[in-house]
Amino acid sequence: MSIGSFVQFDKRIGLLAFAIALWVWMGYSIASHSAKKIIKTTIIQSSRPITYLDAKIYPKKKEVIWIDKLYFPKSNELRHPTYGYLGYRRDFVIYFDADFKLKKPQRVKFTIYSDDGFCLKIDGKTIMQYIKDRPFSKSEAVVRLAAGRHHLHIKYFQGFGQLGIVGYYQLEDGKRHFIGKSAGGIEFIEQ
Amino acid sequence: MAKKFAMKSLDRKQSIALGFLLFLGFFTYFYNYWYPPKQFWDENYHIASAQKYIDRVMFMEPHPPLGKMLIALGEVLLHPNEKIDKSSFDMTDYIKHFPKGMSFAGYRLFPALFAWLNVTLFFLILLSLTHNTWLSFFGSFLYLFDNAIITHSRAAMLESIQLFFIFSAILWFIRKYNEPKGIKEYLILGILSGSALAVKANSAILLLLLVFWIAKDLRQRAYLKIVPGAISYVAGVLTIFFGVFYLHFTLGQKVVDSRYYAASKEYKEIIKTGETANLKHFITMLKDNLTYMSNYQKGVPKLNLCKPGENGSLFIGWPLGIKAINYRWERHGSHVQYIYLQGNPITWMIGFIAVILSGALVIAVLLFGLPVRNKAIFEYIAIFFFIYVSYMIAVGQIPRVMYLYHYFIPLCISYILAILLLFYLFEEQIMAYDKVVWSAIAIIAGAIVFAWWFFSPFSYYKPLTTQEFNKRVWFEYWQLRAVR
Repeated sequence: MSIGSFVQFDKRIGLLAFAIALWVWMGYSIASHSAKKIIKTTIIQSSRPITYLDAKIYPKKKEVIWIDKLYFPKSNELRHPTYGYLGYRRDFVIYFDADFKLKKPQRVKFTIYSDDGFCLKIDGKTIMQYIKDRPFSKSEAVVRLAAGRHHLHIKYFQGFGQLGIVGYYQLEDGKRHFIGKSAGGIEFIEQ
Repeated sequence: MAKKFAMKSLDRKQSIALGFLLFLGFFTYFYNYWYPPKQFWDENYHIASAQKYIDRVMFMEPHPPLGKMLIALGEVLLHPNEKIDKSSFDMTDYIKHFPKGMSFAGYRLFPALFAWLNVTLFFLILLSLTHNTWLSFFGSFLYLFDNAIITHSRAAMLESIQLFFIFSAILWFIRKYNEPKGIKEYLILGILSGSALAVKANSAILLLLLVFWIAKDLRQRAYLKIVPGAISYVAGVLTIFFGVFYLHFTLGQKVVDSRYYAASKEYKEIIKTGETANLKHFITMLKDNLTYMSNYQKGVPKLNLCKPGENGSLFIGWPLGIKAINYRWERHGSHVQYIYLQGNPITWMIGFIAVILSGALVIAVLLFGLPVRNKAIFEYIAIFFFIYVSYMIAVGQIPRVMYLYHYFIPLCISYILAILLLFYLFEEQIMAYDKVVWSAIAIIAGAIVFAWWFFSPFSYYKPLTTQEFNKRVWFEYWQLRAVR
């Protein structure tokens, strides 16, 4: 664009674009902070310390939220892009539950980064777990799944210090996706 | 002449526009203002002070007295708590427990009423600047639908009363800016500025209005009017300021529970002898009160951003809405009711952009010689931009913790700037009722109303689930946190 054409720009259109941009901004802001009901997330705060995955929980507070991707990045406080900071710092467990449909039988690779431990089950069968505390680290497992509907369940615990859990899956096509996000061969079911 | 006449008395269209704004303002600012019947934020302090005026109890205060007096007047006029024992309020500066069944309708009356009436003043300010009824009507939406000002004003707090006098002073300043000014004009400006100053000390920014009037008189070579004008302005300010303090001393006739605050021996003697209304003791009592105010401010903690739950914020973040304050919450199962100090993001964003663009325009004209298309409007843009920047610089020097509502004055200035800029840039199109420009204005007005509605649960104590709450957390830096 030359300087001349810029000068001739109709400023009325600029004002109209600004007005419309305000609505677009509002719509985007609301939509991007409205999670789809994909993964049921049950957070239980314990009144006593939790040092390993199956430690006894003394529930002090229980909360259920819905998320559309398993992404609680490494932090000092539990945080999700949709919700911001959730207020949990230590001694809590989270149960993640989601259903998905696989279009054809295939091998699926699950990758979990967590601080502290976790246990991943598909249809009630343990796929991988790390039951003790640890810094934010990776665990991977490959499982062959039949076509059709499956139930995914993850139990995660946080003792003290840093925390976080991020989960991915990878189909045979090689692309990695967040757990909760549907891709070509897999569909996470909205509840 | 026609324009001048129009500004003296409203024509039919202007009256209808104002009437409709007041109708809308009744619902955004005034309706059901006594709800929730529970205290929040500084009401614990302000109601304790107001009750002391009602019971004629002597006390000292960090703020000038006028705001508290009006809060007390509301309670006296409506007296909804006649059967409730409030004597314990006189023995404390911070009420921890309010009596069961207490109504807040009286204490909150004037803050809510002034906030509502401010709609009129804001409309008249815009009308005086642009002489365009429809632009002033839609421009008033910026104040009318600002969730933060609404939330804060529907409580026994000082800011809406302060804004009332500030808007009045600004309106008077604008109306007489281009006219020859005599002692009367300066005196009235002084009285209005003094009234604002008698509510909160940060109203001192209004002193700049005098400076701009003097600068205008100098340019108009009205040299002889400046000194008498300035003297009458100061006289107006001092009359109101000291007059309000005199009333404060007069009402403080007795001491409860040996609470003398920072009263000197002389002051204690004055109270004992019942001579608080005697003018010859005025200086003694004033000195003690001002010393108390100064020491109190020194004792207010500094901002500590590392402190968990810190409600204060840095002035530099205010234009972006940093940070929201949770005034009150109440859980009902999975829902939580909130009174949250959170601005309307659309109006705040418009205000912020207006300040940036005003600064760019002023710099471009003053430093780079950009031609001015409307000298009168540009002058007002420069004036209000200077006031905005001056306030922010001044407030940045204050060491004590400050809160988001300390931004209300520059926020309203930024709203005025937004309308001035719009008028400056699109004057011909606005006057010619250009469809594109007016469609844009209507779309913006619609966005303001929608955003107000969307964030209104924070103003009116409506229940939200965590999911609903989080739909409103558009920016992490607002620090809106749902209660869990």
